[in-house]
Amino acid sequence: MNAVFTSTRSLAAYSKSQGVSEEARETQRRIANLLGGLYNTESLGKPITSALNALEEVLEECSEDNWDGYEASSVTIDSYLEAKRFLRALPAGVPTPEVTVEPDGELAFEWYSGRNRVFTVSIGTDGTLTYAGKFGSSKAHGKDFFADEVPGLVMAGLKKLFTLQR
Amino acid sequence: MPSSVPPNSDISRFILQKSHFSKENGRVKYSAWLPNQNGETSVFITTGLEEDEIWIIGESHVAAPQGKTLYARGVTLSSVVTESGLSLNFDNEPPRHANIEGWPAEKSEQKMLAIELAEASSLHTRE
Repeated sequence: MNAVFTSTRSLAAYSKSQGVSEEARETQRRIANLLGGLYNTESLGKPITSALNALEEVLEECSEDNWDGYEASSVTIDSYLEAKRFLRALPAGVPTPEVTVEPDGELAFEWYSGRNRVFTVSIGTDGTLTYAGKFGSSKAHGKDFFADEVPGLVMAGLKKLFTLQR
Repeated sequence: MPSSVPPNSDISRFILQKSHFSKENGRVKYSAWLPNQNGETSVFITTGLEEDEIWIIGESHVAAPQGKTLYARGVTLSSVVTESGLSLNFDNEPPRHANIEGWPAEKSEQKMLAIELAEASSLHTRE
């Protein structure tokens, strides 16, 4: 798969308006309605809906300590909300990730494009993103901070995963 | 059982969380291999055992005592663990049990090693 990331903005970012006029507010309402429709489309809405459902399922299954049988920490509602926020901030065109959960209770997203080609990001409740990726023979790992948009190092990992096909 | 784990022994990690493997892609995810808060990843040496014997170990020593469902297991080789810089501490408690230890303190480094283990492991699911 070769994904083309044409924009670094998430769909949700387009619903924010700085305008104060009635015209600006009406435009914002129309954009919000349009976004609501887009989230229900097959191409854009259904994938994010499936990932959101997966997040909810993991929260339910892992809401108590020792959910993995090996003394894992529970997933908290704060972890869930932060992961959901990150998911919604992903730019249009980023393939839908799989959801997983780590023993420290952090929720994580994983993208897989073939053998030895995987990238994962876990979401801390304080906005810290911990990522790691294997792209054939090369690797990358580290931390970044998630404010309003998916940070550059994480986007770089996703681009490397999906645009370097050998 | 020997006092240490021979190289190229089969190492099984029993999986009790559905998001730790992908049945569709037939793969174990990195998250299945991450250590617990004590810095250990609990595994069993399953070399030479039949499939049903291995599942009995997982049920009797991991899943059933905790009232949990055993969904799958990831299998790799002991040499994969040691060549990645981690160590296998064979305690035989319960029989055939070992812990993968020596994980780095930094989480992104742990994830990187867990990815290596996952990519070098095979998925076996309960039918």
